[in-house]
Amino acid sequence: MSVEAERTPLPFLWLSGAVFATGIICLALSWAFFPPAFTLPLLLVIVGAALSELFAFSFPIFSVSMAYPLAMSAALLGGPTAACLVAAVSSVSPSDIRRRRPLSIILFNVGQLLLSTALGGWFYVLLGGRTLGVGAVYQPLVSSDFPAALVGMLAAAVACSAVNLVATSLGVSTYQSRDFRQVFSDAAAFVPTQIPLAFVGFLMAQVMAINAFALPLFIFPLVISQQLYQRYTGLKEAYVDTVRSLVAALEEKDPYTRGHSERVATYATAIGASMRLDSKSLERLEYAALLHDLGKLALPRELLTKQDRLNLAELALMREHPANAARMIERIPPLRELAVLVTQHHERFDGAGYPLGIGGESIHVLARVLAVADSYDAMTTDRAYRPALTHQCAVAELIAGAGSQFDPDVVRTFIAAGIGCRDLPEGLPLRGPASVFVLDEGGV
Amino acid sequence: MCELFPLVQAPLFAMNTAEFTTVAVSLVALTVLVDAFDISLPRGDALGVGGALVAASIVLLGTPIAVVVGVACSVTAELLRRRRPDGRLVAASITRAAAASAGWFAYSIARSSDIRLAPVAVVALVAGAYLATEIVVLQVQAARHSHRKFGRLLRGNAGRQTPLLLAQVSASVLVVLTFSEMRVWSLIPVAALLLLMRQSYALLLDMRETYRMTTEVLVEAAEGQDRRREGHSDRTATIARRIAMRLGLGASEVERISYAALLHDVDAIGESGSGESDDHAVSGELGRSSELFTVSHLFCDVAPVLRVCDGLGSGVATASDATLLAAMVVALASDADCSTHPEVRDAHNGDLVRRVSPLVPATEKARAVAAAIELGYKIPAVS
Repeated sequence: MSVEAERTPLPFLWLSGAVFATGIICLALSWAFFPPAFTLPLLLVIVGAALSELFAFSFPIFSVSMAYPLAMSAALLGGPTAACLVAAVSSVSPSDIRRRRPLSIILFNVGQLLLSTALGGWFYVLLGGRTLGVGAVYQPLVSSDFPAALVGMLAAAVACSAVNLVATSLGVSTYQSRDFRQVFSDAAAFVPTQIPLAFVGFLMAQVMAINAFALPLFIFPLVISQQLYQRYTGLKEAYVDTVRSLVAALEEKDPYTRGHSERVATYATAIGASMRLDSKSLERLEYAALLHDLGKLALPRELLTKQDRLNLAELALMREHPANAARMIERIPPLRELAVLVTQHHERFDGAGYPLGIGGESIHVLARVLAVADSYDAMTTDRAYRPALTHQCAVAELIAGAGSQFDPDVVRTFIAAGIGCRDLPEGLPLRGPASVFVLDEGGV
Repeated sequence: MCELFPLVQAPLFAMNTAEFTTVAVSLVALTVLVDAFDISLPRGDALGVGGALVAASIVLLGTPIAVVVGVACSVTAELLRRRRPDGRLVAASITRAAAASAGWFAYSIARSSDIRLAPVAVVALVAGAYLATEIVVLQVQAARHSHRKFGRLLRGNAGRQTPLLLAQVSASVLVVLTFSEMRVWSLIPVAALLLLMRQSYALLLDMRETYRMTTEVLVEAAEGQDRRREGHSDRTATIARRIAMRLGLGASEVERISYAALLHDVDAIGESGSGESDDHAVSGELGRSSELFTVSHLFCDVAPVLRVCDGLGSGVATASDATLLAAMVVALASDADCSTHPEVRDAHNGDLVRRVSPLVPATEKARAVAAAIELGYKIPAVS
């Protein structure tokens, strides 16, 4: 994995320099103990690594390429130095040059890849693994080299992946001023895929040592895996857009609900980001917000647009919508965990909400965020029974409800973050009991 | 046949009893591991990756032990997945037994031949025979299950699965290539390679199912506003899928038509929720479903079909014959459902066939109508 970003803060400059220097030292030490023999197989691996960067696939904060198994392959062929050389060649890609990536990022990536592959190579040899190169000749692994070679391979894969993960997370968190643990947990999801990739690299080395002409056998398996994974990530990234499209389409026909779920998602994720929730929680919040009113789609239009007070039967029907939405969402396996959020988004902090009547910390924190976002949007948009309130009035209502209807911490975060400030027509005067907090220019 | 070549063949590599047992146990364990996360689907357009190891076992263990091992692995994996035997267990066992038998046959021919084939050539032949038989048997089962024509199904799915088949043949060859040096240890990195392929494929299939489920749930939720429409989109999608399969269209086209059928009425859901009969329900007023799905990446190839269904002339000018055919199929499916559910016709946004039919070329129209009639659906008179 390597870092992708746009600006260059000073702490990152220092980090980049330190990592690059450490990587060069590792390369020098490895060269002293394992001088590389530039044989045809090793050169093929190096060229392959350089070309593989053309087919790397990118994620929001980092990219992954097929150079990783080639680096492991080089570690088996020629030890840590060979692995470092492959890593160094693959760390600068054509896209880096095309996009004029800052030098600090390039140096950081070179350094951390040198460091991780060197350590991986050293773990392999120190735990009993034999390199295949003996001068200019390669001797493939035989059964007597096992299980030491297997232990070495596993250790190399784990060490390389672990160092790469930590270094990349440190780089991204420093560069983007983000929480290290959050970046680490995002990136860690890809580590399990890297372990089998490492073994594929070792297999490639073994095949090269036996018969280099057999290397094309790896084309189909690796190309297929990469293409399938790229299609999967493409679909995954488009999924939230698809859900937005579908929800927007279904809300389109009603002027009172049009765009509601989208706005609630915006407010909820803004609150979540201010609360420094991890990316997984933010994603759950976004989906839950988009789908929280799914249950209302099934209600009669007359009920949703009624101007008068709802009677008891209508109120009971309306209060079924969170549970209805949860039942629908539970049918979509990846979204099942959102059912609890959708169910609880109308619960009150004092326990007087619906449908479960739970309160306080019993309500999921994300549901408490959703409640504030949902209520704020409901107050600041026109409804059948009243016009929209101003932002100031809506905030006053949130403050009035803090502790009773809403979680006070969430309300405080909402106000402090300045979420939802926009030009709205003048609305009704303040209603409700005296505020718990005092609102001034500086926030709460 | 026994005079031509002996059916019982020895393993390709000489092994003592201890090593043979170790290899056999390892092959069983790894094959069950890979099979336990099988990704094959009843419609036959996705294959598992365990076949590579079974094909390698034919060569490493000799026959007929390998056939028994292969079937046993399949049964074990299926039981681990489903916890109880069912129809799929029988189908999977038949598939594995047939494929292993074909591999056995190929191995016998290769070993008995006067041409001394290299071990990698032998295993490539065996893996090719095994996998080719596996895909044929899977298509036979899928054709029976979905009432589709076997020949078209095989052509479509075999073409799509060719890269995966070649990858599995490569994996089998890698086992044999490295076995001479690494012996039983060669199975581990090859199994890792297969698991990597399987993982990538499984993620993609899961994501596609998630998309489908999400679309179905949301459309169903919206239909709740008007009880007359309840289930219409889902039934239309089912009918449209059947007509599309009957036409012999490829899996991706069938999926596109299915999504278009699910979404064809989204713009109209809820507009006539009052329960009264609307004037525009018979006027053929233009729809707007296509406008609502221009943003989503997934629906970018569905939107052209919806534009034709909406009766938008601009959509027809740039539409391909495939898109026009797809729109005709959706229209026929929608009207076929309306004919069996009269309450839907009252709430429906116009007669879709009447709106779409003038826009579709005669040949495509005739094909779609013929397929619908063959399946026994009642459709309106089409000009």
